[in-house]
Amino acid sequence: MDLRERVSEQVRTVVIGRDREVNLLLVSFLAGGHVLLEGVPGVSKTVLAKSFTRCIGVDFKRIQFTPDMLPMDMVGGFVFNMKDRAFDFRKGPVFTNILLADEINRAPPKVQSALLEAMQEFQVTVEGQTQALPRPFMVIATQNPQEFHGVYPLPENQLDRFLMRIEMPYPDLATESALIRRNLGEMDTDQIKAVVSGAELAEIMDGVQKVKVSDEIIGYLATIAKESRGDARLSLGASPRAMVHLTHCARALAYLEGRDYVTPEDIKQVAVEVLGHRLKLDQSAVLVGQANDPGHIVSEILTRVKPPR
Amino acid sequence: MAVLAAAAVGVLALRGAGARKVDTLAEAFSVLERSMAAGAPWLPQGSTWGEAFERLKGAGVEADWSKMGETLKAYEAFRYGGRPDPVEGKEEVTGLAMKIQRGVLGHGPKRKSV
Repeated sequence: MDLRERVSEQVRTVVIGRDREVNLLLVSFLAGGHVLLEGVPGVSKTVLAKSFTRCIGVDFKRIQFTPDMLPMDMVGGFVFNMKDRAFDFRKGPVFTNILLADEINRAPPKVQSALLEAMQEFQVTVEGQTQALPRPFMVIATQNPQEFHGVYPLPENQLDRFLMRIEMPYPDLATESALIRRNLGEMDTDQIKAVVSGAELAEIMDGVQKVKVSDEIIGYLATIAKESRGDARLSLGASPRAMVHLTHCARALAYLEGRDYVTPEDIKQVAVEVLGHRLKLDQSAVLVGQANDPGHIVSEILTRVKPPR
Repeated sequence: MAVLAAAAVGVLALRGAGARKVDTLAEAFSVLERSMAAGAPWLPQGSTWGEAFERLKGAGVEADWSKMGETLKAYEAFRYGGRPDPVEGKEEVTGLAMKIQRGVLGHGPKRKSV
């Protein structure tokens, strides 16, 4: 059984009907990126993130963000050691492999900014001293898009740091019924077992790095970026970083499919999740009803840009 | 007279596509690309081969789709993975190209009733 099946099977013991989301989480993890899980309350965002992390078997910590949080609550700080009469650095919860940043948009800008450094540089700076974070390091953040009170919406530059935004819609009728039935008993993420060893994980991540991206595929990616920047319905197109992220995801997906090369299909499969949250709609296009969802615009661009065949 | 001339051109075009000899799978896919542009213009410009095959299948074009899937994998390994250009499966691909061309000259792809 390949890694994808093993992880999905384990997660399914707790979370039902989220195979697509689990697959995308795995792709992001292997691509070395961070994920923003977006959905209304009660669609299993946190349980999914916890279950996934347990499957991977790496160190995991969770922070529940609140408006009164300080950066040191996350990154840690220096505390006076009476015995040695010196200041020792006490690591905060950010020092982990997978950090679940629950309700990230409730954190004030200073905390978001500290998280930004961790996400981008894989390090934190406290009182002028830089501390490296353990690798792999992944942030799985959750947010409720319907919330308007007591929240600090993530700025574009922070959104751009997320490799993917995964939208979690309500489950369909059959899944909802199965979910209610399942929850008549206990739903416990502690029963989930790790399905991959550290050595196997390192080997897989090394394999992803070796997946080939041909010149034609790179040209295809560049054309998609150009199209997004020229779309009149968007005031902000895909950044170069977005396209690099899309390439990393396509490589991870190709690896999971058992290939050592990327196809246009790999790019199309993850493009909406990788690009959608980074594009900014032009307000005049929104006002006249030409656009309301950047994800749809990404899909349209993919329909008209000819892939290398 | 004009109808007869058009029919003659059609028959000649069909024979041309059928008689066209290809040595490799890459050449076969190139023939298919041309016949798709002419015979299935309704396919979105951004379709990958996999998506195009799915749509053709949905439109009722008959082929051994499972074998076509295997052939496509071999072609993609050449096209994007730098493997040698395979020769296996080129007949199926050119056969499909002919069928698509016939679709235009004959009744066209089947349409699903709404």
